[in-house]
Order: sequence, then structure tokens, then C-alpha cells
Amino acid sequence: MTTAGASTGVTIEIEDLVKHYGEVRAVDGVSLSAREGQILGLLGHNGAGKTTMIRMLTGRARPTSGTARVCGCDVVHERERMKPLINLVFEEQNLYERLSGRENLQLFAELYGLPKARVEELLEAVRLQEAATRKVKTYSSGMKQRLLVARALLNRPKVLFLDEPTRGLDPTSAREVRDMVREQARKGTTVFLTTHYMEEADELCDRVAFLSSGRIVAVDSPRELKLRYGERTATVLLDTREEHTVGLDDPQDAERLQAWMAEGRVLTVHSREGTLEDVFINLAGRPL
Amino acid sequence: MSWSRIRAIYRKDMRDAFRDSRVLTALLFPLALGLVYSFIFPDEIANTQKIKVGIVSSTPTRLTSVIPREAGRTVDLTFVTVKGEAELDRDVQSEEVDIGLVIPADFDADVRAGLSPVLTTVLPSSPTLSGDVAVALLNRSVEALAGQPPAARIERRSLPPETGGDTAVIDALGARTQFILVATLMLLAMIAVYAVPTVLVEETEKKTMDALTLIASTTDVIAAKALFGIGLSVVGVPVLFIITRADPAAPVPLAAAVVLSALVLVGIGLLTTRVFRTQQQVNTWSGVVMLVILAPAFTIGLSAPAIVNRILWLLPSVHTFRLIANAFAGRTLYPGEWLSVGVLIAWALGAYGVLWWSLARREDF
Repeated sequence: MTTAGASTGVTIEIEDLVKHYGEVRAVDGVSLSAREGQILGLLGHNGAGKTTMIRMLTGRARPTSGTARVCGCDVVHERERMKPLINLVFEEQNLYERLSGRENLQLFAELYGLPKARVEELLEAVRLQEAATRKVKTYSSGMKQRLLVARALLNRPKVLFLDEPTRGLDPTSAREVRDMVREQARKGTTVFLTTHYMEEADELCDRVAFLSSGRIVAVDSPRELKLRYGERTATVLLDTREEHTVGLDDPQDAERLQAWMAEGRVLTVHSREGTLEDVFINLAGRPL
Repeated sequence: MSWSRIRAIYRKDMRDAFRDSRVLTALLFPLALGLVYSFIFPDEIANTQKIKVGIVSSTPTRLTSVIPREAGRTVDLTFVTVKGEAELDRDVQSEEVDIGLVIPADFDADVRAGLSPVLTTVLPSSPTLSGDVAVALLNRSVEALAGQPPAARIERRSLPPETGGDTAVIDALGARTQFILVATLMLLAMIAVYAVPTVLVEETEKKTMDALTLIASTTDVIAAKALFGIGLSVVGVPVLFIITRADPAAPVPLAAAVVLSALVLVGIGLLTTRVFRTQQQVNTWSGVVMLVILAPAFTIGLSAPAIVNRILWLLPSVHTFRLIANAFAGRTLYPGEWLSVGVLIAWALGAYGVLWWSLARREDF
């Protein structure tokens, strides 16, 4: 890649992106960017516009207005050039159930013009070699998700989109998927992730954008967001075995804590910074 | 469009189709129906007139290949080379052969030169049907060999075969062949308006289409589905003919008619997916579409009112049936073959044109 965006390390550049479906403003003036190796999380309620964003950025939906460049390619006018540089793990487990895991990957390897060896490499990477000849309909949900990830990694994408990649997975499978995502980012792939799980976003993402009613209401690193918008609290255990939660930013609570300390009544204090969920509730007005 | 991507999707569809009970049913039902018809109706080949001809000829002649061509499918001719005229007489007398033929040297060249060489036929003492048929065929064949009728011989006026009438078609083809052709049309229709839409709608419903179009274009996917439908038809029709022991007289025009018809019907099937977007809708409504497509085949011989025939004439399946009936018979049962080809091409252009237009005007890709 020698395009402008890629040479500066910026792989996703979105400016004032709008998508209307009739009267519905699914995406309403979003501006964002992401760099190589960065994991950008997009959080929002159902219907907030997350999937529409991914559809536009992967060249499958035409923006009503605004511009978006992925890997230096305009998502509308340079779609065909962009296609081999990106990939997507879909929200749905959209695999060919009557085909085997290997046949599924071979189809897409052929579509990308890749050698068969790449299929075997990925089957091994996602630990599906032994189940490779089995029909996908016999796979567990976790195995299907690993196969979806393998399919999305076939073409070694510069930008990897993941739409709710761990939804419905058991903790072990979810952990495996998260590890794979981290590994890709470490290799320099930009990861654009939508999720409902705040803990997941907190753990994985370098930057998080909150999308509410088609608009970005905040974007920053999880730590900065929590510090800026989250409520810092402390859980205090008194000598009477009573437990109190006090707000560290609340002057009255701070005075109460100081008094307990002066009286020597405090047994333990556990401070806690705000969670991303708190931040989201503060910004969007309701929990996810 | 990318041919390599179309081929990859087509191969996947073929592999997947034979594991899909719905597609298999769509294929097996008309095949089974054809098989049932072939058992219910008697084999027309049993009514063929069999004639054994003994030949004495000192030089090679094309007459033995011209006579069967002139005889057509209703006469089954066997030629036996005999050493001399005496032996030939004995064979005719003992009914070893139905008729004897003594062909002079250089017969073919002399006929072409207009020298009227003498061709001797040896017939049994009592007249036989086989002998009369053979003599009649001989006259035709010599004319064909000479490229012109012989000078001052018996004038024969051949009536043109009756064409176009449904009764004439049934008479010419026989009930068995007619029903096998109905099964053929049903097979083409099942593939085009049920199997192909089922496969395409499943891609949309299960969102595998989204995965494909991440790298391939929608046009690639649609082209692969069209190829899939045509491929199934091209494989399915010969299988139907093999299991029903059907023997088309003109296989090449028949193959061309099947491919052109499959192209048209698959185009219509693909077009229906712009309206029927779920498997349930395909299940519910493809039967109606199929009924319309199959109507012409089932109205044959029913003396439908002229207005009905005029409406049916507009349907592509009428022309499919006409072309495959002609190809099967090896002669013109329905006149206006090129018009039928033209109508089918017009339907193909219309179906794929509307499909392309509806894809192009989508808001999203």
C-alpha cells in the first residue's frame, strides 16, 4: 500500500459520515479515525448505527453523505481496490453449514486467489484441523466463531472489522476470540470492533467511541473516558462492619470519609474508578 | 465480473446442491416422473418396420447409407452383403432377407452422370409389405443419390408433412415421447424457478451473500447462480433421456434448445428472487410460476381456444417445447423454429436486462 492514508499510518478516516434510510437517520455525521495496529471499539445500543457503520466502511452500503477512506481507499469509489485489504467477522455465523470447515475456507481462499496452504495454516491457527472435514452444522458455536475468524484472516487484512464477535459465546471461546484479536493488532492490523460488552471493550480497545442515535457522543481511550466521565468511588468498611460507598468527587462524601478516618473507624478502603458502563450511562442516558 | 470468482462460487453451489435435500428433490421429481411415463406408455420403437436387405455389389456404393437416411425413424433397415445373384435369389426365396438388391459396378458415378444404370430388385413371389416399402425407399434413395429425379420416370408427388397441429405432434412423437418432453420441461422449470431461487435466497437469508460480496461482486454471485442453473439443466436433461431410453433424432439442435431454454428460464427464476426474498415465499409462489411455465406442455392436444393459444405463444416455454419437439422428431413438427429462437433470445435479454437494472438501482451494493 502506498496510498496517503496508509503512509501516515492512518487506516480508517471517517468524515461527517451520514446514512439515512428514508426518515431514519441511522448514522448522523460521524467522524473518526484509527491507525495501524490500533483496536477501535464502537459501542452503542441496538439500532445505534454500529452495523450500518460497518456496512458503509466495508463498501456494502452507500453513505448518504460524508466520506470514508479505509486503507487509503474511498469506500464508495475505490471499493474494488479496498476489498482485498479488509475483512469482517460478521455478527451472524454466516457459514455454509452443509460444507466442511475446510471447504468453507477453500471457497474464500479461491475468491481471494490464495493458495490452499493458507487454508491449512489458518485451520491450525484456530485449532480446527481435526474437525476440518466435518460439516459445519456439526460444529459448536465456539468452533463456528473460530472458523469465522479464520475466514476473516485468510487475506491478511490491513483492517479487520468485527461485529459483535463474542456474542453468545461461552467465556472460554470468548477469551480465545479476544486473544486472536489482540494478536492481529500486535501484528499491525487495525481492528474495528463493535460490541455490547463493556468489559470486552475496556480490556481490548485502545480507543472507544460511543455511538448513540447515529452520533458519536465520546471517543477516547477507555482510561481517559472513565476518568473524564466516570464516577470515582470508594467502598469503606467501618469497625462496625458497616459498608459504605462514597463518591470521591462529591465534597460531602469526601468530608464523611475524612471524619471516619480521623475517628479511626475505617478498617478497609477500596477505591474504584468509573466503569465504561457508567460512562455510557452518563453520556447516552441509559445502560446498554 | 471475475471469471475465477464466478467459477469458485459455481463449484461451491454444485457441491452444496447435492447435499441439499430441497435441490435434490427438485431434480429427482421430474426425473422420477419421466421414468414413470416411460414405463406407463409403450415403447414406440416396437412399432418400427424391420426390413432386411440382401445386397450384391462389385464396387463400393453409398446407397446403403442413403436408404436409411431416406427411411427415417419408422423403418429399421439391416443390410447383408451376399456373394452372388444365385445366393441372393436363395436368400429371398427362403425369406432369409426381405428383398434383394443387385447393384451394378460404378453405380454411384453412373447415377450422378445421368446414365440411368439398371438396379435390379429381387422380390419374393408373393408381395410383402417389407418388399413394397423397400422398393419405395429405393426410388427415393436413387433420387437423393443422383441429386435430381430421374428423367421420364414415374412421377411422384410427396405431400408435405402436416405441421403445427398438436394432434399431428402427438401422432408424430407418440404419447411416450410427448410425456418425456413434458418431464424435460418440468425439469428445466424446477431447476430454474425453484432450485436456483432456493440457493440464492438461502445466501441472502443466511447472510452468506454478505460474506461473498466482501470480495466478489453481486454480479459475480448472480452469474454463478445462472451458471449453476444451466449446469444442472445440461446434466439433468441427458440423465432424464438416458433413464427413459429416449432417443432424440437431432441431438445437437436439442442440446442447443435445452441450453437456450435453461438460460431463459434461469433468468426468470433469478428475477423472481427480486420479489420472493425468503425461502417461505419461494416455496409458496414458485409453484404458481412453474404452473405458468408448464401450461403450454399440458395444453397440447386439448384444442384450447385460439385466444389461449395466442397468450401461451408469448411464453418462453411454448418455444422451448416446440424446439425440443422438433429436435426430438428430427423434422419440423412446429414451423417457425427461428422465430422460436428469436422469442427465447428476446426473453433472455428481457429477463437478464431487468435483473441487471434492478441490481443497478439498489441503494446499497
